[in-house]
Amino acid sequence: MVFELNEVLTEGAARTLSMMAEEGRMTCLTGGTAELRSRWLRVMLGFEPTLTGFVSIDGEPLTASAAPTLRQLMAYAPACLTSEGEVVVYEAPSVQDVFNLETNRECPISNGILSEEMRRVGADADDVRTRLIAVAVLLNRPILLIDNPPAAAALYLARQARQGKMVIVCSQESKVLEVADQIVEL
Amino acid sequence: MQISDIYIGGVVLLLALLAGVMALFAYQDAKTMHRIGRVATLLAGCMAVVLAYTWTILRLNSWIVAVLMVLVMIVATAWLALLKSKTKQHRMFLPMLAGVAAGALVSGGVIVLGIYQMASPLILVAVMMLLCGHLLDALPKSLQTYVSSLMHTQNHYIYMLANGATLKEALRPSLLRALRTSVIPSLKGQSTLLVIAPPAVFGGLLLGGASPLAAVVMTGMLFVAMLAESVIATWVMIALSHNSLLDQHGMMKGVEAK
Repeated sequence: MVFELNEVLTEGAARTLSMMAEEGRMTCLTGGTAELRSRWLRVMLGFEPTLTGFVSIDGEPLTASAAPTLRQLMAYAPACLTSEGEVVVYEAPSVQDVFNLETNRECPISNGILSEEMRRVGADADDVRTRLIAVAVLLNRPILLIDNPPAAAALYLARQARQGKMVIVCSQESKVLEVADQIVEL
Repeated sequence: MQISDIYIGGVVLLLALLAGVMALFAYQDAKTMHRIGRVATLLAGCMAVVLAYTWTILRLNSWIVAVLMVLVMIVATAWLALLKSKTKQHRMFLPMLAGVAAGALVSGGVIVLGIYQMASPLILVAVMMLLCGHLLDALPKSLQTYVSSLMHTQNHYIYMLANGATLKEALRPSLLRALRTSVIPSLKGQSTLLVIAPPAVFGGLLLGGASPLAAVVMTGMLFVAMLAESVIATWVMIALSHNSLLDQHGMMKGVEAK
């Protein structure tokens, strides 16, 4: 499986981005601001429009209409889950909500399984990013998109890539950059 | 109740009471006096308009005229509800119109069916007035809640969509919040002690000559109809709002994800 961005320009980016991510490899997007890196992940998920170029998975263009189908191949762990003030007004969303979705009902999940996976991630269990990464891995999709993972999770993510997943992360952490197979400067 | 039942001396006394209240405020608080004056004038103007069209409907006694009047009321309610919501979502007019039409026509239809023996063009307009008035309170609040929920839960919305949720699943929390808000105006008025202060419509029915039992039954029917119409109207409005609120990528128009 190949995830390709060809001369893609999105709003807020100073220059176009071309990259090719593959199964079994960990690709790290670095440079720019945290907001820009997050935006590039959303482009890969099909949530942001592209001004030029195209995004494709195995040659299939990631258009607005094809995105919901292609997203079935991906699992996404954002850098945070709640916006500032959100939980004050609304009920706090649960990380594990995704397991209640119809498409994920087959995924085996329990508090024990999640705790064990979080332990394997190797980062601070109180950090919500650790939980988000563990949930993304437990969804067992071929493409993992991780926004700003904790440095301590770098080896775990590299291991996921060795086990055959396509891992795409956004990070400035030197430990993450060290274990990445491919570094893409934004 | 007929106009001949109203004693002119009582009306004069009430006007004197109003003048007394305004005189008190003129001395202590001129701002409030002007406010009372403005509201009283507005009420008189509005009632003159209401009198004109209800009188016309009564005289013509035509179902076609009554239905046309109901359609005008539905369009006006949708427009006013949109303005009252202050969401600046003018694209939401058609979904709002569909919601008001669905909610008011279904509930109004059931009410008119429930009193079909005395159904008349004027009764239809009167029932729709009550139902549209209620929607004018409920729908702006539910639209506000829905738009605000979508705006403030973008991260969670993206997280759900990115991990396999369908659009319907990702929007469900915001829809539930909007539905919950839509029933609050119906419940709020009924949650206080009603034994000595029953709803205004109950008093209106007694004044109009209904028996206490008929007034109680009718009040109950209206409560259920209003509750149902808020939910139907909100659900239809939101179900038809995707093209107005969301772009082709499923993101809310004009809102930046963080």
